[in-house]
Amino acid sequence: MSDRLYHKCGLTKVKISEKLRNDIILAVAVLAVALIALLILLFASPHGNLVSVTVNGELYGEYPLDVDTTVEIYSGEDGRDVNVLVVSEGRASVISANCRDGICVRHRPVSRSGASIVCLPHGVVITVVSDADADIDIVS
Amino acid sequence: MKKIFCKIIFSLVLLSLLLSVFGCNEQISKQKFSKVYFDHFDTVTTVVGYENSKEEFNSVAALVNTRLYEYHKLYDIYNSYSTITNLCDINSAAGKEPLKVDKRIIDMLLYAKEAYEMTGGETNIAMGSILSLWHEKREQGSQDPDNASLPTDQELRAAAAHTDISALQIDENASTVLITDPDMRLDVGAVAKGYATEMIARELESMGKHGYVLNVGGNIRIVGTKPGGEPWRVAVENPGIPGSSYEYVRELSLSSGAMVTSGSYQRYYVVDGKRYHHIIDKDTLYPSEYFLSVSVICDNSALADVLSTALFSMPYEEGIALVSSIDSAEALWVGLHGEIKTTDGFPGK
Repeated sequence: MSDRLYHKCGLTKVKISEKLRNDIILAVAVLAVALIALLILLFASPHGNLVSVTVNGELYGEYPLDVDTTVEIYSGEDGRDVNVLVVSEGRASVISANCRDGICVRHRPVSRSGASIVCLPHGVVITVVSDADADIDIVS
Repeated sequence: MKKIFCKIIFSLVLLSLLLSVFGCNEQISKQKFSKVYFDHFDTVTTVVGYENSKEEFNSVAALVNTRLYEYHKLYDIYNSYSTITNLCDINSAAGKEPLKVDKRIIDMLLYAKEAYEMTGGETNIAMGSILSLWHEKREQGSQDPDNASLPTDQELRAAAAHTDISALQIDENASTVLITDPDMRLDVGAVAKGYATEMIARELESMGKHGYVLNVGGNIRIVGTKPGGEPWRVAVENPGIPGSSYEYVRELSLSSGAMVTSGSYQRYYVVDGKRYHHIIDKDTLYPSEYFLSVSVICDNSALADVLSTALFSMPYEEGIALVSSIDSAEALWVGLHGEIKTTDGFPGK
């Protein structure tokens, strides 16, 4: 094996044996399979961003950002606190809530990974997450 | 046949080694974690950090939360606690006797006095009587929007007669505080959060922590870069620029120091269709009407907090003169119609 590699690396005009040719074909084949597998992994995994909802630090649910949906987020005693999350056209926003300050409702829609909407009175955090590194680590 | 299997396995092992070398890097050893707390300073606190394990991160985040609670209780002007003497107690004892208090109160009040001098009186913690009038009306108006009302001019002017910070007497040696004017009240909203954030960040630094960022209601303080020396990606929120759908007005990288944004877009209430926010201009006694938000970057979170609040209540020309007089401070102003101005050294785009 090492001899063959040596010849190959040295680019000498050694006549490549049939055996070596098969080895090369095998190596290329394995590489190709691995490359295809890698591409599939990259693209088949949920590449789009998700909207992650937590209530008091506990995961409440995750929703794809590219699927329009409406989610009622219940929290508090007997679930009497509610924030209505709407995901539409790749943006997430809170359209209504029965919290005392309404800051979450006023918050503009979020779409970038790392962006979040927080409802302090209800302990609700809505964050856009992606598998890639977040664009933004923290917002002031 | 056996040989071919060997070759296949050898190739696969080699390949996986190659992938692991190129696909990942040393940073994989530390993972990114974050935790959000809702309990203190009437705001949201986010702790983000890189650690080897979730347990390690959780213990640091829990320490931050514990400290925040301690500072929150000490600097609370609305509630008194049986176990400690705090700012609420100092306010209640105005015009009476000096109270012995925790060193963390003394140090913060001394800092606030410095801030008063530095900002030419713009940041004045002795404005508590004025701010409490607004606070009360804002609470009422948020609960019952139909009956929301403003404090009267008469009330505001009467309160404004009792805002002389020299009535705040601090005895460092005895660790006591006395407000000599019985009608003066302290409100440390422009200082306390930033000061507490700074102190907690320094404690983490003294523990050798690295790769953390604290965000206490917009008071951002960085504790070391990300693993590998990478800076943190920080953004300034769009403060509600009319007709703008951008999420951020600025994105930048920060490796150290602090950034604080003061804005009118979160805490406000509405009276007769007009918004009244929580940052009160000492000259008009009404909410400041110069900007939508002001962000300050500097090496100290307490200073950034003080400056951002002060700049929010002064015209741009005065503000830029103030910032220029302070080493390492940079500022970004978002005007009422979304026009953005910055000092020359403000990073990002």
